[in-house]
Amino acid sequence: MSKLLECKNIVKRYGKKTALDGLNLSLESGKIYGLLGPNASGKTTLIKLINSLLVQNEGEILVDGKAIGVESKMVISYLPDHTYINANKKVCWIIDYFDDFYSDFDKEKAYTMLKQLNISADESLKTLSKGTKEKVQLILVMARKAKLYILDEPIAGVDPAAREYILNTILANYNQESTILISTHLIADIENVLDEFFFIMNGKVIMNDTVDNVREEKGQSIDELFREVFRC
Amino acid sequence: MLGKYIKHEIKDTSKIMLMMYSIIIVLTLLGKLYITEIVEKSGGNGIISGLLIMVYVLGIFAATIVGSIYLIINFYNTMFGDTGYLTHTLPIKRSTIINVKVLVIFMWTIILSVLAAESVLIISSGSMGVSEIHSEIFDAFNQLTNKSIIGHIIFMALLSIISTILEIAFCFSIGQTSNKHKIGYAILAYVILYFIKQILGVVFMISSGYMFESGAFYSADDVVNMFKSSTYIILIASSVIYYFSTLYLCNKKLNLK
Repeated sequence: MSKLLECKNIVKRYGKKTALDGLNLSLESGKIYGLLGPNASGKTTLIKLINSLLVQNEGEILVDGKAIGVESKMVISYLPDHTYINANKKVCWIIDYFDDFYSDFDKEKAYTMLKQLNISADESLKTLSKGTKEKVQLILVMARKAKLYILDEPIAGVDPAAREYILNTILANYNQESTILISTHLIADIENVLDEFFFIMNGKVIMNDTVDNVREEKGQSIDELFREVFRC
Repeated sequence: MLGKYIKHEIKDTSKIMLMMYSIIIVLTLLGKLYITEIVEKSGGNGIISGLLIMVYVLGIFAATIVGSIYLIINFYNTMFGDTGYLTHTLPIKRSTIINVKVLVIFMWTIILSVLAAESVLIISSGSMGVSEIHSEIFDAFNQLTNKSIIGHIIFMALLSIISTILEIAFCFSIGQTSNKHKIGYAILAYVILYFIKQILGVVFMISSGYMFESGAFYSADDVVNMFKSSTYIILIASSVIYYFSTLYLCNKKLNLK
């Protein structure tokens, strides 16, 4: 399978603090990956680097064989870990915005998903609850036919019913040839959808395997393995 | 893509800016209808006329300041605040993003300045009509021996606005490289730049004084030309430095929280 994302020896420092310390990671097309690690392990930093919101001090990141730039942004659909859209904007404005800038955005699909959730496109974001805002952002991301979906903590801070909806939406809407990278520490909720996982700690990948291997060889779930590896 | 980005940038900022323009226009109309009449009747000495003039001046001042501050805050939020996540993940070059933002701020600022200036002109001209004011200005312009000076003044004013916008963008770009105090560092950068400009200004004045003493200038025109060229050089050079530094910082040192 072809490599869709390659991160080679990535070093990212914030002043004297090293967030990523020679991290290597590569993703193949058509798989769902979990980027798992405790708080402050470097997950969000890595995701921000891939999305061009930060710049690494050392190393190289290639998306579909190309350096980070306009072309990589065309193929990545990214869900940040917080609300990043102006709260005064109406949902329909946001949909038009995405439709204007992303050629792979399916406006009809976005409106269908909104209808399923009984969210009015005429409402502004500030009138929506936190969970509904997250669902709107997820709809925007999943309504694209992207090659790589990067979801940073998509189920954090929402109730179990909303989590289920979010995971179902991800699975139901992603293209089988696409790749998904999900960052979270709520492993039990997502491990059933993962093909592979990366354990990340102190800015390095300390373990990478398939979910099936762990279950067959170690007889453990990823959640159990995570608790064992990252025991305090 | 460029056209779409310009369209969205104008649309996003239009609500507040059109509100400020409306305030200026309404204040001007009310001023023309009531202030001029009351001031003329009282000979400018009445308490009411004084209060009305104060309300008008404060209103125009507030609309101009609020409009300008809004443009600055919006620039920061959409470049380096939470909304920056949306801006910087769009499949558009960073240079395009900066160019469009600067041009849209420039456009709004020009309209704001022209409206505010025109308003003050209309109110201060008393009972004269708008067309009369314009023909007075045109006549005054025709009486000038060196007409090109007006063109230079307008061009310098436009360059100053561009330079100021780029300077603010540059200071924000420096500030965002900090991990904790992004706004604080931006203000610090602005203060440092201010002092550098003051020092360079003093050096320039002293050196031109020496040149004057040593007889380097033959006429008053030489002095005017020297100041004119120096101002152009300073404005253009500083704008170029601010622009490319901002672009570099956004491309190589972007550090969104």
